[in-house]
Amino acid sequence: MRFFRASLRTLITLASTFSFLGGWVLLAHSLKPTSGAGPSSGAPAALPGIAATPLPTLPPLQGLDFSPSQSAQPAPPNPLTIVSQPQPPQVQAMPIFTTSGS
Amino acid sequence: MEWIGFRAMNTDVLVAAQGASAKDGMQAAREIIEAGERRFSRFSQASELSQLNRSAGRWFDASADMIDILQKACRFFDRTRGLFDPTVLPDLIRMGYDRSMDEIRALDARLVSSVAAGPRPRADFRELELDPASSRVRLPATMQLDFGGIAKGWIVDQAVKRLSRYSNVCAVNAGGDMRFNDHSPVGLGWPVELEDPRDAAQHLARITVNHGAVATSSVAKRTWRQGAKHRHHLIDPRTGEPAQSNWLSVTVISDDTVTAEVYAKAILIGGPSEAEKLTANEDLVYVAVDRQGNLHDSPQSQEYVREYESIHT
Repeated sequence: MRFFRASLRTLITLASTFSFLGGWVLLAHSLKPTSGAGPSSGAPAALPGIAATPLPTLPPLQGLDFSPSQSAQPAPPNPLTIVSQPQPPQVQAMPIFTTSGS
Repeated sequence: MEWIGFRAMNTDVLVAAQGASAKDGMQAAREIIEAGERRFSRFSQASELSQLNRSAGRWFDASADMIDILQKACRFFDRTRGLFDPTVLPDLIRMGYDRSMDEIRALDARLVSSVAAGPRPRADFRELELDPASSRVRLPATMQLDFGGIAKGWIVDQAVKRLSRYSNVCAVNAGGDMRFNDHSPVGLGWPVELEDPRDAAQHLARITVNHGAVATSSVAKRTWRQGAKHRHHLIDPRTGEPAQSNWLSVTVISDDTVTAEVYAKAILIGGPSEAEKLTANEDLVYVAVDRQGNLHDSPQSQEYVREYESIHT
């Protein structure tokens, strides 16, 4: 009986010790967390074998246009359309006035 | 903005206007200018001015426009204390200015009339008798008039007045005597380049005028040689000789072209010593250029000059 109790204590001690060491080794070889990619940043850390899905982005806002034709049938935004910048009012050519004297 | 250029009053004339009726307006303004030259030029024997001079000593039936110019001349004679004096015609002729400037420039100096012995006594302009009610005028027998600049200014004012019926944005420039209506193009004012009297290709400053008139008198423009002597057309009424001024040109900005033209001439003849006294009670601005190209301007320039950029100073 005394021999059985001693063997059981030894077995539990060894199992605990090896379990502790095994866990230590496993954690020591795992991937380290990426700096700044914590939950507060809103961007999950990329994991091997997992494709990160980008967050959906809204299209750019269109300029306000209150013309009836535009409001009735809004044209789909074309990303290839080059919108020219508004030009300053053109100053009409003027003759040159000179104090030539008389 | 559209404009036309043509030759009249022995100088280059520019008429500018904007709007749908600009062409009609510019043509109407041109007719005003050409008709005014025919009536008030001393170089045309058929002009009303020549008829008036020939009638010296007798009463002359004058047009309403002639009466208007004579009344203005009388007022400016008093206001300039005689520095503006249209009775200098005999002295101008004695100096060789007996034909149009275009003709003089085409002549050799030796062909210009020789110098007389000296100034002859002239009739006092205040002896002119004017009866606006009956539209009559009588010159003393020895008086001969040269309207010169005052008639040119008056014609420019009349041309812009007519042009304004066709266009809100318009201007007339007759050899440096220019008048702008009250609406400048796109609200930026009318830019006027101040010519260097020593070198016509150079500009000394830019004056931006909101409205009104600009006129310039210069001793460097209408010049000729009479024998060995260099002459210009601005006669000092006090001496009967071409003015000896420290200033080469004077530009005046005022409400109307007649005022600007008369004072440009008077200030130039009077020179720096008279300029302040002449302009003390007048609503005008002047800019003078001396023989070194330095600018001298009156302090009260804000009303007529929006922008003033001197390139040299």
